[in-house]
Amino acid sequence: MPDGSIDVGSLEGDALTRWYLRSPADIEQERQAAAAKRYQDFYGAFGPDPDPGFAREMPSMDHDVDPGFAVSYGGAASNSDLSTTARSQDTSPLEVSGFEPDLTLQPVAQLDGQLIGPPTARFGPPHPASQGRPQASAFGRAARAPATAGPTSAMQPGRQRMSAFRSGADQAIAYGALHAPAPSDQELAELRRQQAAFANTARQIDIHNSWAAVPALAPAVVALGLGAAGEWATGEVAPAAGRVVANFVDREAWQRGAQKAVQALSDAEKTALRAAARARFARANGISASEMQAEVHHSDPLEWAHLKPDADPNRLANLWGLRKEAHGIPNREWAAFSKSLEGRLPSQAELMDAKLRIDRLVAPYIRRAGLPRSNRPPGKGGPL
Amino acid sequence: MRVPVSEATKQLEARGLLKRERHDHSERIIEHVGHLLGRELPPDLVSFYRERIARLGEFYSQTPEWNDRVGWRSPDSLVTQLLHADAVPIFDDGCGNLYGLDLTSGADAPAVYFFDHERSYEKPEWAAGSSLGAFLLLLADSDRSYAEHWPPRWELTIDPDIEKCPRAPAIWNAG
Repeated sequence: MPDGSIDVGSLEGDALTRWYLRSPADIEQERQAAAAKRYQDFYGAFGPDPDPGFAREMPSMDHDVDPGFAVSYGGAASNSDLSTTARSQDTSPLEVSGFEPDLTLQPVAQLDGQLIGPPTARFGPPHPASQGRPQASAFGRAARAPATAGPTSAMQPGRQRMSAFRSGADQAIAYGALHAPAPSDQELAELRRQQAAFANTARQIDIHNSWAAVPALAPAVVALGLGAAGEWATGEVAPAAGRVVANFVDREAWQRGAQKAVQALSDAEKTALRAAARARFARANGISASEMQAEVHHSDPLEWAHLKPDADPNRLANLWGLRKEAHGIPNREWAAFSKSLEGRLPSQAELMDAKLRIDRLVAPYIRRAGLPRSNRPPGKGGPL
Repeated sequence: MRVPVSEATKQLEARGLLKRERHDHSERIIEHVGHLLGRELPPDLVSFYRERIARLGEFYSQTPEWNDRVGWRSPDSLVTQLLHADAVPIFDDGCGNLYGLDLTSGADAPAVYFFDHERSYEKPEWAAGSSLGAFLLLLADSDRSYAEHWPPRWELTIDPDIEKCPRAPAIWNAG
């Protein structure tokens, strides 16, 4: 390479592997050596080294500043004003933005027509074409291409169209104002070969270091393995015992009891519960349901009270006072629900769903102690 | 052992458990119910309506209400609600269930059965009395039996024939 760094494309085999596996210290050392060489190449043309520590003071220059940034110093900036150059190179990107040139098209009478190269290629005596012409405003901007280098924009005459073309090995690739000699087929083939060799070496190193991924991937592999084992043990191909173990729905307490034996309330138990419900309703309200011209309605029917073994059928929240005519509404709805089951037991969720739906239908007709009631029949204007 | 309705009502009235209607519309009710049922009423049912029973303890009778100005205040379904099961409601239990007098036997003393509203009054669930008079005595003591934890089958001391009802068993033999 012109700056003394290693051309990676020319490396192969073990040399490429060693380059790929460089340590951060090696990379830093190479970078500093390259910077020092560029410094010597530049100042070597002007005599003794004015600042031997210069290269060490700008370790991050080639990262933070556009390599073409300092190219135009050879023009307006005086070659002898090196301190100014150094200060400018230390300028941060934000400060550089203050030097952002006016990007509007300017009538250009003379274009140097050259692509700005790396600093080592252009640092030196001023270019003859730029002599006597201010160059400071060219900071960060490529030199203008010749007026005849490409078509102009129809919308903005004079502006170079940003397009790339390659017409042959002996011609140039142009992108706006930038252009470069097009590579030959041999150069392209060599480039592809180098890229393939690089990719192959990187892949081999990845394979060699793949063992390092084991600790990171082990938890995921263990989890997937357990899941697969569980799927095998409880899936369709598993024995019946395994499927039963995984049937968590059937393991609910209320369903376990329902499947073991349908222990519905007997008629005697329901009659006793209804007598107790009337007594509890009267005690809670200070007046009996019959005195309120109402009946005690079990919001959760006694028919399926055994499916909720932990719920007291006569809990006050389950005892509603309804007039006889209004009691027909839940009776019809629950009868329809029971018919829809076609003989099977409902689940708790189905019961709750039906209860909530029917409760909404019945709620407007609840009779409460202390509220006035009408003696008129409900069908003739009286409330239910 | 048949207990006449009139005898039962006397006992219950003496105990202060019976409340009668103020106005006597019994003949009008008998005619109305006979018309709705489309058949001749059993003698016990006729006696029951003539006793003008409004309430027995906490239980209200299922008797059509007549008003001289507006006519029948109660819907016809009060009488015909159990017709699909060949029965006529005579009392409710305060929770929507009905006690119905059997209309199928054709005997002089039909039995009384319990019909569950959660089963849409589909069929007689259990026998509530071998006759209407016996049923009135049993119903009057039913709440007290629960409150005082009477022994099982205490009904047999009042109605020994309750297990002989043709359409449904006694409550202790029911499901």
